[in-house]
Amino acid sequence: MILELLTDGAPLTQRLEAARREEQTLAVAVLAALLCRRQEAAAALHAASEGPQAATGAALVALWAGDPMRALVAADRAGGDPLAEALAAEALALTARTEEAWERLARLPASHPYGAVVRAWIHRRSGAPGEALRALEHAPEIGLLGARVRRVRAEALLAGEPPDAVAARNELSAGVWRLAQLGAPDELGRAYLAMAEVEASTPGGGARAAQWLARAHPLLQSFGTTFDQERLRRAFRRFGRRAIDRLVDEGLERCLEGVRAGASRALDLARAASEQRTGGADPSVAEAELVEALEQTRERQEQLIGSLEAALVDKERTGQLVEVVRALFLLDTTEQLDAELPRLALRLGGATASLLRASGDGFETLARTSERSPSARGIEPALREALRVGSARIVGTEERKLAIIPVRYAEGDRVVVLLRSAARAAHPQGSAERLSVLGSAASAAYERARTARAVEEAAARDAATLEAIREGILTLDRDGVVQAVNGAAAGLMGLPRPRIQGQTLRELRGLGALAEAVERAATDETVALPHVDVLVRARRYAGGVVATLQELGKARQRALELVGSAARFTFDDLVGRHPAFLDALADARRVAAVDVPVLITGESGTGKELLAQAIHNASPRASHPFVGVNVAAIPRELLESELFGYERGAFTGARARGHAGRFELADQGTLLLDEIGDMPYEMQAKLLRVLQERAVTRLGGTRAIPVRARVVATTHRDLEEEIRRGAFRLDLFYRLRVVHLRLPPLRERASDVPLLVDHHLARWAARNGRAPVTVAAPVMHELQRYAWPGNVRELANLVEGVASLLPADATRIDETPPLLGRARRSSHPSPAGEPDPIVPLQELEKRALQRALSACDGNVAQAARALGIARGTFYNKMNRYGLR
Amino acid sequence: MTLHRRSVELCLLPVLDPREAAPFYEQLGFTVAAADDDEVVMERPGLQLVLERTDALEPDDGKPRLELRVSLEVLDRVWKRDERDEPTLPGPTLSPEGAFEYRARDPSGNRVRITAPLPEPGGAA
Repeated sequence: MILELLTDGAPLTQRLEAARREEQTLAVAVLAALLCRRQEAAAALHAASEGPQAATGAALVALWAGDPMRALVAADRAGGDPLAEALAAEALALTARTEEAWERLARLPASHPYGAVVRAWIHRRSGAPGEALRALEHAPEIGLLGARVRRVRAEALLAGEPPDAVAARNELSAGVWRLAQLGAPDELGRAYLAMAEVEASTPGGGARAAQWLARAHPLLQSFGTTFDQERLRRAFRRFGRRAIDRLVDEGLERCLEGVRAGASRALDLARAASEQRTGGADPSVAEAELVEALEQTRERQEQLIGSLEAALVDKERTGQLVEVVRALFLLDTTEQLDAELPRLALRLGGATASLLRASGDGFETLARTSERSPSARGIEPALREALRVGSARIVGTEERKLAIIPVRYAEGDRVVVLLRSAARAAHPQGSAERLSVLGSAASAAYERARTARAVEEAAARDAATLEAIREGILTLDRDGVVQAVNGAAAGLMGLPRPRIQGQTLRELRGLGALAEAVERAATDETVALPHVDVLVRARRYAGGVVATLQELGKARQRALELVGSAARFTFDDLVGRHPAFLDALADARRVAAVDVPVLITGESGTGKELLAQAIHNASPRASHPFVGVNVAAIPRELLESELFGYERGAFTGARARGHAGRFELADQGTLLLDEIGDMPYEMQAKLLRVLQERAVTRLGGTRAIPVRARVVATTHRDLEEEIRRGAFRLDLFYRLRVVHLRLPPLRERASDVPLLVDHHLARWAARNGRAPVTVAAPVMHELQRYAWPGNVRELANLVEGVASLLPADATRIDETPPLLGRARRSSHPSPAGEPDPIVPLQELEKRALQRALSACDGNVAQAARALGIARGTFYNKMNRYGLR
Repeated sequence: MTLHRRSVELCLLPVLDPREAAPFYEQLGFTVAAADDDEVVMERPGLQLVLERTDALEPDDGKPRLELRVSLEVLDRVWKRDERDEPTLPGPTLSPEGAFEYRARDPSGNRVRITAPLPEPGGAA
């Protein structure tokens, strides 16, 4: 049973709890011993019934308590139990009775697991590491015994010729891993000590050896036997001191420098974040770096304290230094440090102490521990010298010795002056070095305090900034509890801030819809609050959700300002009674309510954009942006980034923060692609993909942004002809032309001319504060006869221009505008009747191939049939024109 | 107004299948904050991990793409799971600096270095 406990992989504490529950007193005794709970082990053993098993248990408990003699006596009562024999052999070996130990081991079978470990251990101690390794060949590798097997094997590997430190480290690695699960502190300490020996045997491993020694030290001091502690001391004597000295010399200052540099960097970052925030830039990167810098500083502080502890385990005075440094780092403000530093310095030895600050030409006293504390009088040169050199000095006479400890600090260097009493005047060797360490640590602590203050100030500024923001801001934690709310948000919610803070939104009356929107991280969603409708934009972050609330009316206005385009026109602005025109309007009204893409065609000036705006304003999307982009007006190379946006750094000249494209800006509104017929062919494929996938990816970005805008396209071109020419993609045409509205040219609805003339003259008069202007009948007749190549736009410009030239008191246009006279005399071609430019035959052939391929969805056989040529010929021509 | 400031580090990790990779990171203490077919956003205190879909992983140079510090218990769980699948796999090792280190691969094959602190002296007893 006991051997089973030694080779069980379950955590020892779990086994112990189970044994307690089941009142297995012997198991409790053994497990408590393995966990170094010696009192519990002794008590349980006392309660256990007597017998050979109990005797074996007693031997184990005694051996684990570091009492081999008692273990031997107990083992002899076990009636030849193999485990007891093995424990006895170990006890004998521990007391240097190796011969007798071998005799005991000889009574055991070679396969006995504990016996194998003891054999190996004695072999290793006797300088026969090879034998030790052989003894362990079949030893178990699980449970506590397994961990011990690993350690003894590692020790043997290290003692071999040549030593195999790598294999030894691997063995210990595995052993410590098992021990981490099991939880046997003494065996863990032994493994750490063995690791220290491995590192000490490795070139350059001195510092690491010291660290492992430092880890082993508290475990073996608290839980190890006297044999362990003796071994620990030997390790310190053998290689610890050199490693420790090196650690002190090299590591300590590095740690201190790390703390100082970390604090200084954190301060810079705090300032940078604050400046970026104030300047409207995104401070998140600087803030993330700030947190990292603070974390590093904290880690370095821990390293520093750890190094001090590890460095000089058995030096009382260094222990005091560690305590003082630890206490220093608990002080958060410059004021606390000023007040406490002299008192803390006294703990390193001295009668009184004062803290002086360099000020101009002199020094002022900031704090003192007593009336008798030294001032700067008479020692100013020494104080300056200590500050210049940066290390502590001891000056004065035998009767009155002063220790001067410089503390460098960006906001005013300080000096601690310690007065030693005559009785303690003899400074121990190395005292100045320890005082220098205190000075460096104090300097780091001051810098840290300064950084903490800067961070606090930045947080206060953030809060003030948040308060100044006109948008409502709401921050919720993971549980939906409101952590922060600014005045604007509280105002929109119609509740005082104290009622909101610390509550969930669902707990607040009338805010259920807002809670839902925030929980699902809604983007630009309209939510009705009790008093006002708001636009909610919520964003998840690691700690919860941040939401902005904007009053709907203001949000709409802001969006329109941002995109620089607004839908001002409604169907009332579209004037005409011609049946073709009215048909188009009727279709447009119907389509406004249906969420499908619309293609509006018509000659220039027929009012395509007006109609698009009217559709938008009559649609459910009217409260969302109307964003127009004139495809023909934007340079080809900029069109893609204009439409789809770009991430920062996507190309030279890109804005540092990236740029949202028109698709994004249109959001849930309407995107007008004006003059779509002029879109470059290659761009059409990209647009098609966006329309098909309903998602857009910014240039240089990887994230697909959903497209929620309705697309309305306009063109003055005959797209079907453009498709035939191979200049426009058939698939895009079908995608855009779900509904096709055609606005007739004005010459086809000449009957509307008087209405339009009157409409634009009335508008002009109202705009300019003039009396209504009419048109004489003969002039109107001429206007109706005119072909209006520029359509309604030309008409509006013409009549407003003529009206503007009328004398101030005139109210009628009596003369035919000169343009119309010229037009009548010339036989200008109609705008739609411009002849196609001359194109080389090869180009025509290439376009024919493209058209056929496009119409046949890339099917070459069908395309060849459509063109009436053989497939082989088609392929040859494709190759010639580079078509694929 | 009291502000509870929280800052997190963000790590973007390309994976072949975000939903398939997510459970691996869940066992390392992350929880899923948001997920779709192309992206799973996972969080644990102080760290946000975004698993981004990619068609093919770029070859690494043998170095881990991600380093995570976890508790001993978590590391043990990860190791035991891997050990079940591949009994000959080398287990966590002790780094010379004094931490357990285990190199795992997520379901997409990304190398992940997982470290855990040594057992605390008090916790051992």
